[in-house]
Amino acid sequence: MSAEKPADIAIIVRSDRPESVYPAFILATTASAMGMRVEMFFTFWGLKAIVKGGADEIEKGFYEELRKRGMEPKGIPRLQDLISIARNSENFKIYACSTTIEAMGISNDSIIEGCPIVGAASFLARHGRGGTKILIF
Amino acid sequence: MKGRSNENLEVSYKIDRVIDARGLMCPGPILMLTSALTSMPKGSIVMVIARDPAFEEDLKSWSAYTGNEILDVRRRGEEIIAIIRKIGE
Repeated sequence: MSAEKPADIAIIVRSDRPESVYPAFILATTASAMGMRVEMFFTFWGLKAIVKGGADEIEKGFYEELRKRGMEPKGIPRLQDLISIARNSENFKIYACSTTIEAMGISNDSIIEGCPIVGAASFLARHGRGGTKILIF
Repeated sequence: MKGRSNENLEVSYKIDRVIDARGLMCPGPILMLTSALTSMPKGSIVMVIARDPAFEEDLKSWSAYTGNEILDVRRRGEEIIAIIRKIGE
């Protein structure tokens, strides 16, 4: 892992609020579309975004919130689409936080495929000496 | 050429694919464009039609960062129509 090139952008998602999860994926997929190497690390409540079925729940809650305020989710990309783009992009990695999985009693199988479960040191080791920009949502 | 204007000069391109991104705001149009280019050979020309008012500026930033070339951008009412050539792999 440490032999890999550091990412250009590392994004930490710690909340399952739509205002955290959406901009995190919007920036991450756009960075990837611009040729940047991107890594995302999901921890605490943010882990929900990469638990199977979690993204749909977050999206549903967001749409309900919008409608309550008399708004429509017009033009907003589907969260599931952004996640698929991220998972299918080269130079894009998604990690799940091991401590959160343990603390919340989530089984490893309930995390979407292709997201290694790592700790803080593994995540930081690739970025500590590089010029990675870290964004926290 | 003195006294002649280039304003009405029309240049035509052979468009390999048209991407209709009118239903999406940021980052939809940029993601659709990038995803299309990934599967196309170098030199391919695509046309993107978008309604996101930020698309023109976003496209310029994307182009400056990735090196892909904007051949033309114009507005038609609320629509932004851009022609892009893929540079590199």
